[in-house]
Amino acid sequence: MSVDFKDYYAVLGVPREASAADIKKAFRKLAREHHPDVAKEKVGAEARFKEINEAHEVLSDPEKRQKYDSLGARWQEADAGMPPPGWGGNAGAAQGRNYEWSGNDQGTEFHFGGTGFSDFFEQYFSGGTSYGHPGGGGQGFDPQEAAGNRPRRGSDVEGDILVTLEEAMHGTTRPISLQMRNARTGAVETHSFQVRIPPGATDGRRIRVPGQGEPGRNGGAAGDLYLRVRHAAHPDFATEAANVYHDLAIAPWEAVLGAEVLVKTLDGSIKMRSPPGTENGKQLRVRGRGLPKGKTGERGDFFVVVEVELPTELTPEEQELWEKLRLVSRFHPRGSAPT
Amino acid sequence: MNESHPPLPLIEPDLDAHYSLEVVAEITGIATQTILHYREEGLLPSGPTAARKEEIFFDDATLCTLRRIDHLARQYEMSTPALKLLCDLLEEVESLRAALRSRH
Repeated sequence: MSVDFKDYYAVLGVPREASAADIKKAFRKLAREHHPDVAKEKVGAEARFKEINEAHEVLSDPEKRQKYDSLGARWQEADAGMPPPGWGGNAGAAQGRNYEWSGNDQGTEFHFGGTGFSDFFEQYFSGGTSYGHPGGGGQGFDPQEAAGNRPRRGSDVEGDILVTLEEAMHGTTRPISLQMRNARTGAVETHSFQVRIPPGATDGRRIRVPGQGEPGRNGGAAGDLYLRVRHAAHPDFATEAANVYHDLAIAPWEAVLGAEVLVKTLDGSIKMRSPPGTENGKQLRVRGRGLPKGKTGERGDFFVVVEVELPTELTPEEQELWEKLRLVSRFHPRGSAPT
Repeated sequence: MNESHPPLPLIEPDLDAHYSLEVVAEITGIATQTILHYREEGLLPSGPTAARKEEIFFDDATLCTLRRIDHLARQYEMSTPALKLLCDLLEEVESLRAALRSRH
């Protein structure tokens, strides 16, 4: 099994030197087009949407983007089946082995499927697996291990899972496969199961799947699997815990005079009033229209973040009106009348 | 997926689950005294103050933290103050990363 290089710049259709703003713009445009809810071509829309999301996940994060760029530059040099030298968090585990495996050096190595990320992403950018119970331990000495035949509980395994906001809203069931290879015996074991992701899976939350981690030794219990929820970026909404944020563009006169606007939420549109004198960046809160918080039925809030946009092309008539406003207005934001 | 295969086993995690001290000890394989020690040292969220240890409950996030602490303690023989420092730092890094992500 080998991992294909993913050209994330090509996925988003941006040049390698694209600015963060360009990337955001390209992502939004593509995500809107391919979002499973709206895509005209339903077949493959979800896979495409996830691919776009993955590219955005890497390229919108300066740290990951830098890592990716240095990887891309060296990908050609790398032998098939080997990562570029000195690469990444799994460098220790990767040396002299097939690099699609990640994990610790002591026993079991593992590989995820069904998380919504590509194998390439899993290998190089999945944050969860390299830290913690099994991965971080690398070369350490485990006194219990040295004690021989004592039962030893298996390590916990942690991996990221990509969850769309619609899935976080309503819950979903995801097939997951976890391949584990015992580095000593070379035996590969695949565990396949479905995990119910309950409504209210907020970003960063860890879902514990009991007994699906590394198998125990000498009769010890198996470790647990922790799936760390990663919200797929959405063209219209951002999240923070159970709260949902939506940028709303309004015209300057709407900001000044107030306006009634139709706002899209995760569950239907709502009509809301932006009051007269709404400043740029102001957050208008709609209680209880965010993500569910758990089984209680309680929900987070929905925030509309106002973005006042300026017209860039003016007709002669508009030009005239703005000039007239300049003459008659008593508004002087710098305190004194303009000279 | 092949239609003729039996359906995959379905696991339904409960995000709101809470566990007693005894159950946590059983799940994690860590002695109750050690868990109480970590809790007293502020490595685990203490939750509402409980008069008796029978009244202490832990959630999934705490279980994960506990396993992490146990791993670090055994693997690197870290002292409790060092564990606390490391856990605080990890938590801070995670929340900063989350803030960075949510701003995209």
